[in-house]
Amino acid sequence: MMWKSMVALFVCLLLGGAVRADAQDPTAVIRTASDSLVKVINEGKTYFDKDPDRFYAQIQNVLDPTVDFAKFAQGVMAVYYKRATPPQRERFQSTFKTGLVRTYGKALLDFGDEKIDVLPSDRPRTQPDRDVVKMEIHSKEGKVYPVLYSMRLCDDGQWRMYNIVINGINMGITYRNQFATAMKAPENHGSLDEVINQWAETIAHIDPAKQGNPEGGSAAATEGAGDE
Amino acid sequence: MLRYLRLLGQWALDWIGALGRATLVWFWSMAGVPQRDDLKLLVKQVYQIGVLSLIIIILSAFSIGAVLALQGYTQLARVGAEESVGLGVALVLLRELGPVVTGLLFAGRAGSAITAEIALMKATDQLSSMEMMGVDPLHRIAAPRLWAGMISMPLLTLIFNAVAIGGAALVGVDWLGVDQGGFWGGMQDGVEWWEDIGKGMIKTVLFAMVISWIAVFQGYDSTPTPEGMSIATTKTVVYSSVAVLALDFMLTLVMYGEFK
Amino acid sequence: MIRMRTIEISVGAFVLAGILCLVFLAFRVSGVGVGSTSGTYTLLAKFDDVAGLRVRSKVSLAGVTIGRVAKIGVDSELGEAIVTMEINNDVKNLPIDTGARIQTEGFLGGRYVSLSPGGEEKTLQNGDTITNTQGAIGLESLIDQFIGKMGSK
Repeated sequence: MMWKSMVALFVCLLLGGAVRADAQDPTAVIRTASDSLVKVINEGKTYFDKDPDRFYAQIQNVLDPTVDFAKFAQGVMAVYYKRATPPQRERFQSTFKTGLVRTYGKALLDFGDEKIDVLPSDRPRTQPDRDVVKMEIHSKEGKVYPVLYSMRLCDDGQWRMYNIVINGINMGITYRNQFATAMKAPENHGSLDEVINQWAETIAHIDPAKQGNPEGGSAAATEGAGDE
Repeated sequence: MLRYLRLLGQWALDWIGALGRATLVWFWSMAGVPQRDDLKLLVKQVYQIGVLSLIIIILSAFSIGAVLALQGYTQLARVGAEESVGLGVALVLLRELGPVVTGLLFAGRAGSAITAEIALMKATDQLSSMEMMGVDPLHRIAAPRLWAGMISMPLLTLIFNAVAIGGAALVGVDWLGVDQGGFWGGMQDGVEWWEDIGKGMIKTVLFAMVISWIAVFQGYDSTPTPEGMSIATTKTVVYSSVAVLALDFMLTLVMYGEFK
Repeated sequence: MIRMRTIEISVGAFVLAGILCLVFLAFRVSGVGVGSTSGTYTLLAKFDDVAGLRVRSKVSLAGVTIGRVAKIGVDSELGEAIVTMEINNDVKNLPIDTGARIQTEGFLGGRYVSLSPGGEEKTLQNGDTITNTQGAIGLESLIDQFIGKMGSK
């Protein structure tokens, strides 16, 4: 649905970055990406049924240079990051990436001619290596969904995103809470490895409607509509 | 028809006249220079007005607190929110019931006593004798009672609130089994110093001023006969009660209302 | 006839009782002063929407109250709310990517700020601002998203 499509949207946004290495400005990075997005979706619609893995691979290839997955994953692991060994961190990073693509990739195809506005920056950066890019998605029904990308300037001079806030919901914090809940769940025995293994399953059941309200935001708190 | 209009006009004029006299009484009572004896008079009045009201205040407070907890628990338990009973009861008491019920009880007990006393003094010519001796009755009779009322009633409200919450705790925690941590913790998280306690105390002080004022004035203005006394006492209780309720409504609107 | 002395004593006791009740109300009922004795430090957080959050709302971490909202200001130029929080000194070492979310408490619905510590090395110091935030989510927005989810299946 719209929700998953939008999250999927950000996943695709990342496309643009890899194509244009000279797009230094974070706003430009996002803008270029959203242009490429429409092309990729329309292409994907033609071959997805026959070869979904190709679609996912396409997305992932382009994702790699545009999202700072290391930072994103660090934010999700949060307090458990320090405890994790470098191999575990890497494993989670890649599971995290795959999880996102698989969970939201299909929903991307629901996208069509929604108008996407990447807004020009209206404020000076508070820090030289951090910025926030705002985007508005106009749905066919006329609703406007705001999306905020937290961007950081990486060591190689590229701006990449490391968190996203969709329609007011901070996905980084949401995933962080899911991770923490999974770590505390008795069936996982507090084992990082188990949680990492289960991650793809966990992320498929996040119910965004429960975020920010009487702690019902646990992984299992879904109305059952979360299954693909 | 004309007759009724005339009566209405007369009544209105009487009422305005009374208001005027009342204001003068209040003003001249407050305006005196403190004398040596005043403190003793004040203490005596605080005793009569405040201390002697304690029993009814405490008994009522305990019952009301207990009933609130009982009723609140029953309703909240339906939606699984029993732990909020502490918070709910505290808010209701601090913001509304504490000041209002104390005010009504005070008007009934202390207010009527003040009026009766002063009316009796008027009927037995004690007031006029004082004037003849050069003693200012407003200063010696009215002022101490006005001040005593303004001091006693807030204290009574504080005691009322505390006892009522205590009663609610007894019923809620000890009897109905609400978790103690939830009861008090929820209350502490939700009750605010200024918003709830502070504003409630402002209400009490205002009520105190109004009730004392009405009580003293009605005594002063009474017809010096036995019927006059009884009429005056009734007026005090009725006017004070209505004033407290009306004032409460307006104050609540101003303090807590959100105007769109 | 009651003696003056008795009267004075009872009036004194009356006033004392009143004051004690005030103290009780202040500390046990309204929770003034409940918190750590070790002092506090200040953290700020920027939100797009703080609907329902008030001064003296609690700040909690893992369900434990670790501070209070001291001030709620607004940056009209950027359209953001700036919340100033006093955090107990015994809760130090919050990483700079700590998240701050405005959530609703139980049934009677008081709002509070919930902190979730992050994974960065550097920690927040006195006066620092938390940028990783999520504001109050309105009920309509939740219903929209819920219906949206249902509708797409």
